[in-house]
Amino acid sequence: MDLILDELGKCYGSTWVLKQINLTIGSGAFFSLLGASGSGKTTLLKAIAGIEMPDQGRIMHGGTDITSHPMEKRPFNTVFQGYALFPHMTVFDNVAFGLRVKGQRGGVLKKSVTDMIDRVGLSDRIHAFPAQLSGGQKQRVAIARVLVCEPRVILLDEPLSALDAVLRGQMQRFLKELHRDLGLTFVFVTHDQDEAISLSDRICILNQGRIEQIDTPDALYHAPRTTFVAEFIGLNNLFQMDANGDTEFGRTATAHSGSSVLTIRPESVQVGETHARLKSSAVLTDRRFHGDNTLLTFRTVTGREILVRRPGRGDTIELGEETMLGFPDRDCTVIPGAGPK
Amino acid sequence: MTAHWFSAAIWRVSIWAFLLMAVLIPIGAFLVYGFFGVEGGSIVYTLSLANYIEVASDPVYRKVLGKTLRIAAEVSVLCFVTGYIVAVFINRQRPVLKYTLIFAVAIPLMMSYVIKIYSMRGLLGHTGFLNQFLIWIGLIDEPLSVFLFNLTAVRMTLVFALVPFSILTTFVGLERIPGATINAARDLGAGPIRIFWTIVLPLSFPSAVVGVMFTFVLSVGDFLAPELVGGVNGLTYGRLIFSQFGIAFNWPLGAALSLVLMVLSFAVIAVAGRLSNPGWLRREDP
Amino acid sequence: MKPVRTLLNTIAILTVFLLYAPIFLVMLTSFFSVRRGKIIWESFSFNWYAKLFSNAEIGAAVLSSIKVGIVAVTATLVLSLAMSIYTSRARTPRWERTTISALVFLPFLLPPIITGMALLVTMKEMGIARGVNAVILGHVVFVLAIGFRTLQTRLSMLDPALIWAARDLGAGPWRCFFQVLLPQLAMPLATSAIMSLAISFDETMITLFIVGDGMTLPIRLYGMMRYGFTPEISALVTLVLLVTAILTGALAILYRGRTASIAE
Repeated sequence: MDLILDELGKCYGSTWVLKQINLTIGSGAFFSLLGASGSGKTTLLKAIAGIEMPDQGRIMHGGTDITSHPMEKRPFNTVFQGYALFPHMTVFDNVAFGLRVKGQRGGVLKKSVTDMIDRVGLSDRIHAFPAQLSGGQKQRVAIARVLVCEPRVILLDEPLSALDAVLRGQMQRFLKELHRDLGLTFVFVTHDQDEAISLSDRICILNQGRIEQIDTPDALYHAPRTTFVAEFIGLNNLFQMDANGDTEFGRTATAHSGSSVLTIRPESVQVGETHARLKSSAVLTDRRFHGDNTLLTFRTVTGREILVRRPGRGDTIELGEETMLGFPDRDCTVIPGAGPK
Repeated sequence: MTAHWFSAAIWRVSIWAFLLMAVLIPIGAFLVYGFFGVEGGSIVYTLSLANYIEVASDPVYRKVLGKTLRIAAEVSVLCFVTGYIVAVFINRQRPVLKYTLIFAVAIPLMMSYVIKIYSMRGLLGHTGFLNQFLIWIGLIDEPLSVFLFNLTAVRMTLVFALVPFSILTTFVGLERIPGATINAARDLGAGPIRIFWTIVLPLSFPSAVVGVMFTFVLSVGDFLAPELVGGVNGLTYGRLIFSQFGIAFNWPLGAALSLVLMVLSFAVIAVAGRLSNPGWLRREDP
Repeated sequence: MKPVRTLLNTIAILTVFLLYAPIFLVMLTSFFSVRRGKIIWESFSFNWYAKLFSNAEIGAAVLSSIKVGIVAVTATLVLSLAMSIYTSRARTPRWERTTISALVFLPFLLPPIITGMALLVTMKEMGIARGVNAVILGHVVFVLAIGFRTLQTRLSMLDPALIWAARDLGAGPWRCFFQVLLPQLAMPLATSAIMSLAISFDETMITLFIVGDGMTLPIRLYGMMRYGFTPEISALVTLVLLVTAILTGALAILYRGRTASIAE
């Protein structure tokens, strides 16, 4: 029961907010759509849910073309941003809504609904109205409301964006467990890369309505295929390399063809003694302490800023002190064909 | 609301049919009527500019209109100032008293206008309470007739009936000003008078001006107060129009006179609309 | 500063007092006889009310006011519900939204004398007789702005995802309307019903043009008070105010209920 988007496009007036979206979401995956605001991620989710009709392409689910199916007929359910709980209904009635639509009544209904509310840990708030619940509780009701309908795919539109940091951590764990226990497909929209990286099996990164890269979190971090992804996920250092392998810091032996961009993560940069081919003398200009690590900013002789992450306090160098930075070939990633940066 | 779930066509047609019948056609009919005439007690359906020429050339109409506009302006200014004082006073009270007071001000708006006029007659009349009061405190010996059946009585009645509008709209504007804004001004060293002129007044004006608009439009076109407390001297423009539909029986002339009123009202509404939506309130369109 | 502030406060308190004083005095006179402007305190009675109730013309006016109120308010609610939902749908073109709003607000914003006259000439040319039915139409046109505005404000605050969520869970159009949308509109509907009823019950200027012999209560009152200030009129005024008070009270209870539920 894979969900396949085939050449999907959507335009408002003359601007294409989504173009050439091709992706396959495997059955049971935790799949994230990650992008900044305006990247088209919410529009894409709405197209999958059936709220927006695509102007181009097809949506296939388990081999059936569901592009023209109205949202009430799709085997997906959505957890909306801001929850969209029915304010005039109790927790019970909210959760029971979908089953009542399907014609369930009486004891069967009551049992499934109370079981589900129990599962999300809200048994004691079963007769409360949404206005009387905290943000995290509302979120659980919204999830229970769709889970009880036993959808094949659950769509989540920035479900955690309204919660504070602590609650968000709890809800992330809750979602992860839920996904593991149920084995359903989760399609998760978020602008928070940490959230996407820690929760997902696969992430689709969207930029201006186009797909930049679809990959596992590990691959996105260690093998970005575009400069956008390289800069969007985590901190990174990027510099230009020409067809001969020459960079501003020396010549590299890394495989390449044509001009490209070389990237290296801050934790891979060597400080002080180095045997790397690519190296530069640099001055420490800023130090930001993060508890378990310290982020250092250096300025090289070529005038480029290089970010370096050191474990612990990283305080062997003073501000203004000059040292050598090394960029080992094995830790550099080449993004072929990328334009000058 | 993206509810694609109503058969939109039937819906759309019924809404437009109603608006056509109930609003567009009446306004259109009234506009056309001004070009008709009257002969021997019946309406002549030939188009002519006669009514408009009469309205423009007869100095009586101009005089009455000028007088009415002045009264409306005076009433609006009085309502604005009084309304502002009351709104500031109410806004300064503690929450419970504040909302009780604002409710108390809103209630008279639900009361019949005719009743308010009648009450003013009871107050101002020859045997009215004002005379009784003045005799009782010894200021006069005999009841005076100067309070009723003149334009001052009309002014007082209009202010009495319309001041709740300006209190309410000004209050809404005042209440929207965050306390932090006032505190920021105070923190920067502004005294109460400066705060009022540079912060409170500009921020509440867009809302207050809506109340001024209401009082002006309603008092310019009013004919009930002049009729009931204005006496023989209380001829206003509204009364002039209304009489065309009574004894004078000249509907086309009444329509022509009304067009002037409508243009004036639109102008006031347009100006008020502009003032109530200044640049700093407008959001940039993305 | 101090004396200025005291002066302004005095003006404010006096103004609020003067909003009520004349009306209370009128109500007071309905229980007494008045001779040469002086209330005779010993004469307290309900005689004027008794006289009023035996007046068949007043009875007829009350009945037609009630009839006009109920029919006009019902029609207003249905129409403003349809119009506000229609104009707040994302698919409705922008020009249509603005034009509908403008046309609904026009009769409310124009001086009543123009609205009244426009209806009068239209009805004459279309052969619609003056009377109760004409008044009903007039009141609907005038009061529509209230219901439309109240509902539109609520609809614009409503999260569109509420309807999406219902449809997402499989609900069809009727279920969406009756189980999700309508309950959200209960408050504004009740508010506009009460306000429209109060306005319809008091409307005089537009009604005067199209009333014919359908005589609503304010029109009867207008006719009576042209002849002066009498305790009988005061009694009638008191009764009309009683109705207004009941409607205002209903509104107050409505909002008290809401504030309480928010506080909870």
